[in-house]
Amino acid sequence: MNLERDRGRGPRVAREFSVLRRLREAVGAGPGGPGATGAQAGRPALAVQGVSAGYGKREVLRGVSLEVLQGEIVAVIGPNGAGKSTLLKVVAGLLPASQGHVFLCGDDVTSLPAHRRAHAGIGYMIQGGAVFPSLTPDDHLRLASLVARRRGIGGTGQPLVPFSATFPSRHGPAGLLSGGQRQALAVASILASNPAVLLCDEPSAGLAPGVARELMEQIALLSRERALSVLWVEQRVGDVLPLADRAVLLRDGRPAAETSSPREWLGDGVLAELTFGGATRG
Amino acid sequence: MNYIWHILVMISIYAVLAASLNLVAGYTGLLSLCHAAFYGIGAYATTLLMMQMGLGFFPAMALAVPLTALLSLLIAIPSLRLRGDYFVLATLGFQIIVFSLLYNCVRLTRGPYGIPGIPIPSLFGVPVDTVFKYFLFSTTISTGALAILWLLIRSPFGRLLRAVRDDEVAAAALGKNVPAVKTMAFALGAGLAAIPGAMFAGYMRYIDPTSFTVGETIFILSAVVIGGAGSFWGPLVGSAFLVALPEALRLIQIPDAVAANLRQVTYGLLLVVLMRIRPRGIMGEYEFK
Ligand SMILES: Nc1ncnc2c1ncn2[C@@H]1O[C@H](COP(=O)(O)OP(=O)(O)OP(=O)(O)O)[C@@H](O)[C@H]1O
Ligand SMILES: [Mg+2]
Repeated sequence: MNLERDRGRGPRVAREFSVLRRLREAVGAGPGGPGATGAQAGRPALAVQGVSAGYGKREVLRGVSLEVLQGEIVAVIGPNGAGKSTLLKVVAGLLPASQGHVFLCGDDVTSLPAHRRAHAGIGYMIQGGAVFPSLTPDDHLRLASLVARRRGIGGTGQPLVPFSATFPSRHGPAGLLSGGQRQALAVASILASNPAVLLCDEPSAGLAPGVARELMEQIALLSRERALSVLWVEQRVGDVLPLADRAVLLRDGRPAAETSSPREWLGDGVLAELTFGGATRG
Repeated sequence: MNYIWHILVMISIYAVLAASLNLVAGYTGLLSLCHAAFYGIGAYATTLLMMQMGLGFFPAMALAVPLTALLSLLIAIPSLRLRGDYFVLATLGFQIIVFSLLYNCVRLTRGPYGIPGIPIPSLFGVPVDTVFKYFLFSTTISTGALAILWLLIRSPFGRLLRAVRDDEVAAAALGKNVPAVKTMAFALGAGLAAIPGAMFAGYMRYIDPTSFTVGETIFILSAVVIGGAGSFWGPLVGSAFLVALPEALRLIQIPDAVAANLRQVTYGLLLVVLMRIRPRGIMGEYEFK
């Protein structure tokens, strides 16, 4: 890693572009092209080092470190209130870290605001599916494709997931969509923005079982085909662990266990033991 | 007949005022309480440029617009980082400061005495010297200003404003620079408010600080809310309604002794009733939270 060279030097914009270029190299020919396979690059697309953060005086994250290699899916699971969403907010730049650093492809982005990190390739699916109520689904996709263009990847303006079928109208305000439809729209527009590192916070919550499974498989497919790196917070443990390359269990704002064979956590009582038992690092 | 033209001139002025505030409050969701300050800065800047620098009406107005937009950054840059309620208070403070500057910088503005004898604007060498001519003149300017606003709102930038209003966090996560977008919207709204300022100065040919008070800000904001914030036609309907309503009430025959008070009460009641029936305004799109 060349942290020392880049830290705090040179215009930020240049730094963003260098991140993008390196991610692009890893991705291969860009969207639709033959992507690099799996975690071959070996360099973390995303690294979180000793991050602490909280709301006001209340500390929620206490020294979290983790890495997501290029093309890798890392599942983050844990009980409600463990700090999973908080972790994603810090990575996305929406909540400042009181300690620690966030690296994107080796570059320290800890001091970049959220929109800069988005330009550098981070796509963040907010928990609960944030949409713009007065904009139409088409407007959402247009906004998303503008970011994609900014990232230099060229937005398709088309949802990568065949969700359009679930919208009654692509021209009515999104505020009139149902909860599940909103979630689908939020997910579709983040995917249409062509991120290089995807942060998903329970992307399938509220979706009908069939659509949820389709979405989860689609994200896994994107990760495999385009070396999309995914940090994936999920409550559907049984669905996400088989798709993930690695998994982290977050408890009380700390990684309580970690595994490179996530399927093993699906064994009888393993998770219960990890979550409520005295285990530290698995 | 002049009476009708006079009312229409005032409507054309308020239409641009309300529509420019709508860009800020309705489309971007920034509840600003200093719009009359920008209106006043526009009026004074145009007047002083005409009278002290000898500029014509249009060059003076064309300079007043960017000047007002620039001055708006004085309040926008420090206060747009504050959260909702604090931003509202900061703009209120700015409104009060601007009023007291207009009132107290006697050397520049003549303070409470106001500035009389503002030259009559002229168009292609023809002086706009009757109320009817001024009606044609001001309607043309205001149509132009409203056309600019229409284009802004329909553009991708307009879509961006609504996105920021709807969900700042999601907009930032989608790579939008939220503070920059808000600052731009605020400055554009302020710059556009200088146009009715110039129209007012050229029409009245006398200005003093009392036309640019907090009360005036509230009046403009009422036109936006009553017409419907976040809708293009709302503020136009709202201004027509608020300017014409008191005139209409004048037509009702009531004994002189109570007339003025009764009119005020009726006016207030009508506003309350209207907001009960149509909480999002006559053409309503967006409700203030
Ligand atoms: N905006 C906020 N302001 C103050 N405290 C917050 C805020 N958001 C979360 N918290 C607190 O931070 C802690 C962690 O919240 P977080 O949303 O990260 O949990 P989570 O692991 O995502 O839970 P869930 O599985 O329910 O989504 C909680 O105790 C919560 O009360
Ligand atoms: Mg959460």
